[in-house]
Amino acid sequence: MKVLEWLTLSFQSLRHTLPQLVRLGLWLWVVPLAAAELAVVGLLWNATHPAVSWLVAPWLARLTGDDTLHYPRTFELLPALFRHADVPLGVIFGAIGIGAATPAFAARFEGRPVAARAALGEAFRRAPALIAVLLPLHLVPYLLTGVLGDALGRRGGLVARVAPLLVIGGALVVQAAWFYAASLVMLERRPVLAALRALPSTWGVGFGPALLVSTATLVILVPLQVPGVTPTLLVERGTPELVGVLTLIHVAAGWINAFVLTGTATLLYLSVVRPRGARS
Amino acid sequence: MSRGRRGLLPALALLLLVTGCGDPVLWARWRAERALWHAQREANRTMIRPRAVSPQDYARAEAAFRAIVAEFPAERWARRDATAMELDVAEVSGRAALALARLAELQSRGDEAVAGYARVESDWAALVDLALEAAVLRAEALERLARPAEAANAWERVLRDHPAFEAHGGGPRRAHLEALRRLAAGLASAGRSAGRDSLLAEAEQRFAGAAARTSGRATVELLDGVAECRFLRGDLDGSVAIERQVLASKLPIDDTERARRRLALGERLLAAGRADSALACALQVGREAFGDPRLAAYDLEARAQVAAGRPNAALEAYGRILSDFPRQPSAGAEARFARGRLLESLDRWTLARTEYSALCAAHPSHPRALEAWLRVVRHHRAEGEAELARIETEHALGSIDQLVAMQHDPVERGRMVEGRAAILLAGGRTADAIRELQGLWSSLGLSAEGARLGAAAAEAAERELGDRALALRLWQILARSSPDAELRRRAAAEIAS
Repeated sequence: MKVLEWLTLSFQSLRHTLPQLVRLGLWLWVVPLAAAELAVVGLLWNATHPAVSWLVAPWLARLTGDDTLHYPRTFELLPALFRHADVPLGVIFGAIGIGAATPAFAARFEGRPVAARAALGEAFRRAPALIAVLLPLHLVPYLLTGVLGDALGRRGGLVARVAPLLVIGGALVVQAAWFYAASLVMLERRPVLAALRALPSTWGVGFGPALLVSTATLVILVPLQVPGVTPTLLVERGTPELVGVLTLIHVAAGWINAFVLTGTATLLYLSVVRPRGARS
Repeated sequence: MSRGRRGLLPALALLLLVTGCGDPVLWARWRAERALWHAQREANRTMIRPRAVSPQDYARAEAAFRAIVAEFPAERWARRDATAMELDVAEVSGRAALALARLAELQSRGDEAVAGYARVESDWAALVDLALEAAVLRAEALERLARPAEAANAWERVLRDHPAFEAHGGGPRRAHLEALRRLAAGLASAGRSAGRDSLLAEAEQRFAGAAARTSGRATVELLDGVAECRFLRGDLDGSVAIERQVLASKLPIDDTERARRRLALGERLLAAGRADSALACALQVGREAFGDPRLAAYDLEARAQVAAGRPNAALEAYGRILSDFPRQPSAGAEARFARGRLLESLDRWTLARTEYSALCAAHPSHPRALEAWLRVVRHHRAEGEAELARIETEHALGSIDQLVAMQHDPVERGRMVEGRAAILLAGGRTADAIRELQGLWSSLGLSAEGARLGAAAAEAAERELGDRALALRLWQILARSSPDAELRRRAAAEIAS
């Protein structure tokens, strides 16, 4: 019976969140994150341009070798370089964005006027708490991919085939566990330790739907993952710049993913997870 | 002025200062590499399948390469005192200039191509490898244009003006050895054996001297050079002695290379008519090696047995290729064809026919399958079996038609239509063959094989159809458009006669 309940809750939360995608006011949170991510892609794309090469080229050469500064090698490495660079961006601007989106969604779902700018200002003010509480949400999937994925992938055979599934599964579990963390910080105004201590109390009712919603939102990213199409293959047989465009598409898909996850998390928190009598 | 604007000006000045700090050469290299990448994509189709390309495709590719050469000229980037990164840019524009020359050659603008290669050789001289590559391409282009004297001069320049050895105590450059080979062959065919011998003796001394001063891999390559010089001079024993010395030495050679070297030695011995010594090499590799070297050993063994007058042993060796390497279709097709030829030479036509049939059934699209069909048709015509020749011609045409129907690549289809024309010619249907060829030429132009068939068709038109006008029309097309310079000259002579 519980699974049916989870399915209903996750379906309903998605049903109410997805139509919000067209409301521009609910997208304001993405501006700092998008600016930072687009700036990084732009820097990597134009790493050899005199305007930025003084800053970027020495770093790239030191991290990945002089070869990176040749065309089309830069594009071959661009997705991997961006994946690494995106971690601190996610930790800082991603956390602030989720923090800003949460009260905006809450206002929208409670029928109040959405004060997106005020929410963004509030998220900046509470940035240290947001960053600290949401840190595992950004770091654990990265570490799982980087450390566990590589270690298992290197072993070959069945383990290597199962490795991506293990990594995805682990990331989904962490995402579900931290699903309501932003709500605890922004809606309940809890400080870092109190928010972290309160997290397990959200799992009783909220973990199942959170896991289902997280799994469902993976669908957004599935069309972008064509089996066997690697950056190297795209560079060799296609146009290198296409790798850059695909990276941008991945970035945009990440924003949509974050929008849906934050919206559903807020809705689920307000409707079923929040303790009765908690302040609004 | 407001406070905000006052703060903006220093920030703008700082930004302008900073944006000028990047490396403009790095940016130039990036732009050059990007332009070359996209130009090469444009050109790849023309280089790989020149017959399926329109003049507009050529023009687009040429414009792209020309833009690179113009934007990154040799005088700016290929200076002797240029930095490593500047030379990277020069390499890119040099490659673009080479591609331009190659495209000119593909469009039968021979003089322009030769001049283009020469320009790269002189203007990009700071890039030693690129200049050497251009020099070799120039000599090869002159050979293709059937200008032997100029080609010989060009090969001489490769030897004289470019370094013979790789940098930092390495072995002889491959291009240098190739130039030696070509020049020696040219001198020998011109009857200047003394000149050839002195050229090779001088090179041998140079290689031997360098080998004495080096160690490791470079020594192996230099000793190979010595052996090559001796072989080209006709000193087979001397050449073999060096090869055996390398094999017996403690120089760094792994098992695969050892097998390859032993096979190369066997080939050399076979070419010199020492079939039994070649056989010994092949048997040893066949026993000790696996995979491709063993396959090559069986092939060498079979040919050595043929040369030694033991055809049955050769048939057995080819049989081992078929049984031990069933997943090597090309080797299987070659082995079947060779067995067919051998059986034919032993006057065992029925068995030969069986081999040819098996080849055509198992590898219908392999070039040897077409040759097999041709041999069958020609055999029946030579035996005066007109009805059998007709039936086999129909069989062959049916098989080729099936292949054509399944093939979507226009160039591959063209190759198959040429095969159809060859079968028609062999079957005595000259008029049909000529129609087939003319249809193909109007859509895809002439290939070297198509031109050769065209010459055979022109001869057949005159001999079998008694149609001098038709033959002349074919010779005119060949004189104008044959990719083979020799055939163009012959066609011109036929028209004049």
